[in-house]
Amino acid sequence: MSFLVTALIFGEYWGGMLTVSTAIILTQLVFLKLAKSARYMLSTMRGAIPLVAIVFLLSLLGVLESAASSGELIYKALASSIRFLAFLTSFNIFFLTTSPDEFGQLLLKLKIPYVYSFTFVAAVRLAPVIADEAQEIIDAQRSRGVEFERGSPFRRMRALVGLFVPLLINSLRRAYEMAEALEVKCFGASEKRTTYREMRATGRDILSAVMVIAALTLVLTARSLRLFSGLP
Amino acid sequence: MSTAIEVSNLSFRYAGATQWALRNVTLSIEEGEFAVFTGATGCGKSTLFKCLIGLIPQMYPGEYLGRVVVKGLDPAQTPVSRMAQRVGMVFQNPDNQLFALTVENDVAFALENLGLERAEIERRITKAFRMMGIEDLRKRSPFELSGGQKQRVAIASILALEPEILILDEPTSSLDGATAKKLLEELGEISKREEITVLLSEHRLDLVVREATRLIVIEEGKILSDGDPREVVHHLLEDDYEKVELPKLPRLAWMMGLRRADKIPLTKEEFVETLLEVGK
Ligand SMILES: Nc1ncnc2c1ncn2[C@@H]1O[C@H](COP(=O)(O)OP(=O)(O)OP(=O)(O)O)[C@@H](O)[C@H]1O
Ligand SMILES: [Mg+2]
Repeated sequence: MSFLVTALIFGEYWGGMLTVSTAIILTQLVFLKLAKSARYMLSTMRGAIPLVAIVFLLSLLGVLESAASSGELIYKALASSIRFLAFLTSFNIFFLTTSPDEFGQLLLKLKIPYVYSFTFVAAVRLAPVIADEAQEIIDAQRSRGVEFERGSPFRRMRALVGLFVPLLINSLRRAYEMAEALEVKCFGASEKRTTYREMRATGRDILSAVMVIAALTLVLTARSLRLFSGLP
Repeated sequence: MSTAIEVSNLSFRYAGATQWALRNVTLSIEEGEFAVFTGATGCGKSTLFKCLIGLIPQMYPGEYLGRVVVKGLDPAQTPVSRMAQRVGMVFQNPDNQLFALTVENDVAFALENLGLERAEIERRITKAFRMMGIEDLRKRSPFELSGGQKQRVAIASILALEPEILILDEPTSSLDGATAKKLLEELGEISKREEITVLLSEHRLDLVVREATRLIVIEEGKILSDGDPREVVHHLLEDDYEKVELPKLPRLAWMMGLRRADKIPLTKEEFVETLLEVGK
């Protein structure tokens, strides 16, 4: 699956705004099938269950005053949870099916200057490196007896300062080193940068695109006819 | 043989620093040499390398005196991206040099930046992968590689530029002795086969004395000793120099009283030979 999914997600996202969340989750399952990662996706979603539960509880409290009956109350809370779930699955599909490289290429195809798409890819590329580094600092601080999970909020804040200051300094040094490395890799040397691996739309991409457009039209007409006005 | 690098009276002080990082360095490197730079930490090796490709003074402000000529170009005046097409530079930490999300794209990155045709990119990266022996890593993600593999990818991505001079700043600092030795030997091979001039910095002299055609010791920004590795090692032994890790065999021979400058053994074979000669 490739960049068309991106377009798809944003399409779906509008659908979410139109409160047809359940339908969205179902259609997403179809796309997952296309992307051949349904099972993996479901396993990653398991971690989201507590979050959804919290959203449910919060909305339950939030609509407490305005709700007319307990039936409406639960209905509305359920609606927000499902909406939230639709939101989560959208993002999840996006990140599972679209590698940052591909997203970068999509941006290029949309004629967005390479510097921006590169920045995006580099940021994604850096995330695990910084995470490793944070872990190293945490371990180093722990071995000096700093506790991150215990103590008064004040003490915990202080422990976090001991994490963020070295992390910040390291990031500055890293930024310098990366800038040097970019220079010696001739970044920006040619006006016309080429791409070694180019993506092409496959049959499945086209199928997804058609489905997105169909779904979007459906949702938009439904909305203009006010068919779903009562649904979550 | 012609001269690849000519440094005359180079001094550099980083903006804001009180000490000079390089003091009056004069040095000339011939084409095809395998020059090893050594010296205690902070002595100025990285600073010197950055001057050779123009990162200093172009990216780092400071006081710059003297003159450098690399392949007929003045790195102080030539854009780094132009220098980089003739002088490849590999930094110490591979994590900050790998930008793409697959190894293959990473090695192609610099070539894409130059706007090369896809067929040419393919040819060059295939060659670079073969030279570094990492064909099987092509589709992998750089995150999941070991330190040694990352270092090889970083070197391949620079070799793909087909530089005439290759500079490596402490390429083995995160590798264990055996892995480091293997990498350095391969670099020696590549240098001979592809006729690439190699400059690298290394703390563990044991690992490089065999490959090196030239050994340069730097101390506090000045060149302390420069020449044929055997002579330089002899010189360091004579001075009882302790700021660099001297190779073991020459030191052993020295302690045994085998002190002739032309007989300082750098390899096991030479060591045995020296011993046998003494036995006679
Ligand atoms: N960006 C900088 N700003 C100011 N001073 C610097 C900067 N980089 C290095 N220095 C100083 O310049 C001197 C030489 O540093 P350099 O990094 O060249 O040493 P090195 O020989 O590469 O050391 P190492 O073996 O630790 O890599 C040191 O005293 C160092 O503190
Ligand atoms: Mg250094």
